[in-house]
Amino acid sequence: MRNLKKAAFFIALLVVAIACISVIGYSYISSDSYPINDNQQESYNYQEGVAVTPGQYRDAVFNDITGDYRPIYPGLTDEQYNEFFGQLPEFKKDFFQISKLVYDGKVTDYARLSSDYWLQPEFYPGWFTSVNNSYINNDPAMWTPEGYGCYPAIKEISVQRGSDVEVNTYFKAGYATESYQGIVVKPYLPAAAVSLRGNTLFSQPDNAKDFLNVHIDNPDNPIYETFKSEITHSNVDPEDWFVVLKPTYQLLTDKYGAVTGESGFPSDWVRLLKLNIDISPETPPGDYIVAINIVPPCFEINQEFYFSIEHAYYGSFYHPSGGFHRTNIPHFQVVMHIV
Amino acid sequence: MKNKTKIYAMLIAFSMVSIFGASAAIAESSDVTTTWIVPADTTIATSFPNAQDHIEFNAAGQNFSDLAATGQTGVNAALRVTNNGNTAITVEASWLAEWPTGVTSVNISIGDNTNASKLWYGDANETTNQTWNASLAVDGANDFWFWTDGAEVEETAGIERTLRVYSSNA
Repeated sequence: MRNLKKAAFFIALLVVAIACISVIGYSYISSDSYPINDNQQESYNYQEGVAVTPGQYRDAVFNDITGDYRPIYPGLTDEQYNEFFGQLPEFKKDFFQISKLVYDGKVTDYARLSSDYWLQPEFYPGWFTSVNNSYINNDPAMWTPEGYGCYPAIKEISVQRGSDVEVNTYFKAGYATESYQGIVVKPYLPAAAVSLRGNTLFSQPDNAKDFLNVHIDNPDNPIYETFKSEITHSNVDPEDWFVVLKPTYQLLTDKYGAVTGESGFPSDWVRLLKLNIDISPETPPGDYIVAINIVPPCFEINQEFYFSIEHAYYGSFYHPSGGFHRTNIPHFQVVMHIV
Repeated sequence: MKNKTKIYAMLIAFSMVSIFGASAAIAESSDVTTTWIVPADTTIATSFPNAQDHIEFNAAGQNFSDLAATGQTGVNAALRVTNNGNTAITVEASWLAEWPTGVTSVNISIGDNTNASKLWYGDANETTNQTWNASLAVDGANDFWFWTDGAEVEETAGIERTLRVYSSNA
């Protein structure tokens, strides 16, 4: 009996402890730790009148089909909910509170945010206007091998000379893309920072390369790692990131070619891009710009993927992305005030 | 009993320290202060008719007129550009290099497969950017149908020329 009481007391304490941790932990993450856009002005006119459409931020409504708080999409069958979202984390009740904090720039430390949020397509502002054409009424006569992008497009930071910093953005496949997209992401020091319209905001200091070392620290694709030392040429430099983004939609067929179902988002369709910047202690204070460039993998890499028998799905659906369509601005820019 | 309470209290404190410690360790960077973000999403997707991942003209001979791109039909375009982001975009395009000798024009019909809004590239301006859509809305998708003309074009297994589609925020 006495032991039972002791056990009960211990369990009660544990419950209280966990409750305390949950409450404090939640407020720690969702509090206004980085009150940026509310009470500061951007240093440059990044948008130049370009309208940025916010996402939709809704009240949490329990979805009986998925057993969590995923929004209800008229026209989507029960089976499609499972096919499209079945590999994603549970949709949390506070999802829209958190995703709006990110949109508003009140949470900017993306590495601390659980992937339970940013792996959901609803996290990204374009989703609710895209879901109808991309998923509910997907056009089976067209196939979409290429689609990718970053969110957000620009981060402005303040940083001390002599520090090594990591800045994150979300790098993701497009909606209803149907191939394994091979992409080389190259960090670089562009000649100028540009607005969303592509106009110059300020020029890069001439000697920036003497003081800044930029590299992406995400690990390269594991299949590429198995053959990279054997190919005669690679356009993936040590500071680059070679990634293969998986399809976010596929029509599944049987051996006779008959459609048996659909698939949707894989569990890693979004990657947290880790852009690292080493800033020399000798760096003259001022404004600098770091960005990423997207290029397709070279012939030698692509050929290995086409040949890859062990990974037949790659061979069938591998697509080198980044060469056909270009944006006139980098997909991601970091404007740095170095002090 | 007093000692045991102390142990329990220490256990709680230890748990809390562990959680906060983990949070701090995975922070973006302690030396960086983000002062502004522009929450624009730059995602754009391109689609082709099934079994295509590029735009192909497959001529039966050296001379051809209004040769349609492979796979395009009255309903299905040779190329679709979809704006998955959250800003309207301007879509422009040009070829990165001159066409093979003998190819005289490429006509591109926008939005439907009629002559209603055709763009014309000739062999003197194929590398000059032309605007295909001044403002493709968020979730807008634009379809493009392609035809080409040629005379005395050398017969080969295929010559590639890159058509580069550019987009900018409108």
